[in-house]
Amino acid sequence: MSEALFFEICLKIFMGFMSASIILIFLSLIKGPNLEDRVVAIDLFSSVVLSSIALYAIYGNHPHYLSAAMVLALFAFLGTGIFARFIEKENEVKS
Amino acid sequence: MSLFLVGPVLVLGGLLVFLAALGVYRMPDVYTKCHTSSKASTLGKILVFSALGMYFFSWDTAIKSVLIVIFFFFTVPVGTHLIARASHKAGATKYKTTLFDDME
Repeated sequence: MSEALFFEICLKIFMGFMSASIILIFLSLIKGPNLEDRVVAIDLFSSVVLSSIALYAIYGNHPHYLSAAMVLALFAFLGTGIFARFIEKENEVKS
Repeated sequence: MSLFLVGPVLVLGGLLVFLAALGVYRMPDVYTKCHTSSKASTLGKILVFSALGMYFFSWDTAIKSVLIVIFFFFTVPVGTHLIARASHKAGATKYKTTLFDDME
């Protein structure tokens, strides 16, 4: 088996994993009984998007997409922190 | 670098991210969900971005990949800890086989 064909097969398997994980994350967004479960699913969604950006950078041979991945790696954390803060504050108002 | 080395590392990272998504779908509890989503996805993303650095094989992409991995090490545990603490304060239900809870 040649080198390019092997790498092409590896990329195709990686694409399959990414699409299966996005489907599973949306299913758990629908299923999750509470808000916290959905926040965990959204947190994981950002990491799947990051891996998909890496896949696209390799597939299209564009190393410039790494800057976008760097910015997303920093800002996904902010969304998670704000959701956690919201859950805490809502609990304080209730009690 | 040889593509025979980059491909398996990439597939292994994708498998770990997929296992994290499967765990978030299957786990019964918020805390176990936090566990699987933080650990497996961190290792998976580290493998994916090291494969990226090996594929392009230049200083520019190598430095950016290392920076992204360092950001993961800073942000992922902090974010997961925030969610777990907030859900414990909001009184999330524990799974029935939970043995003890140190925060009570």
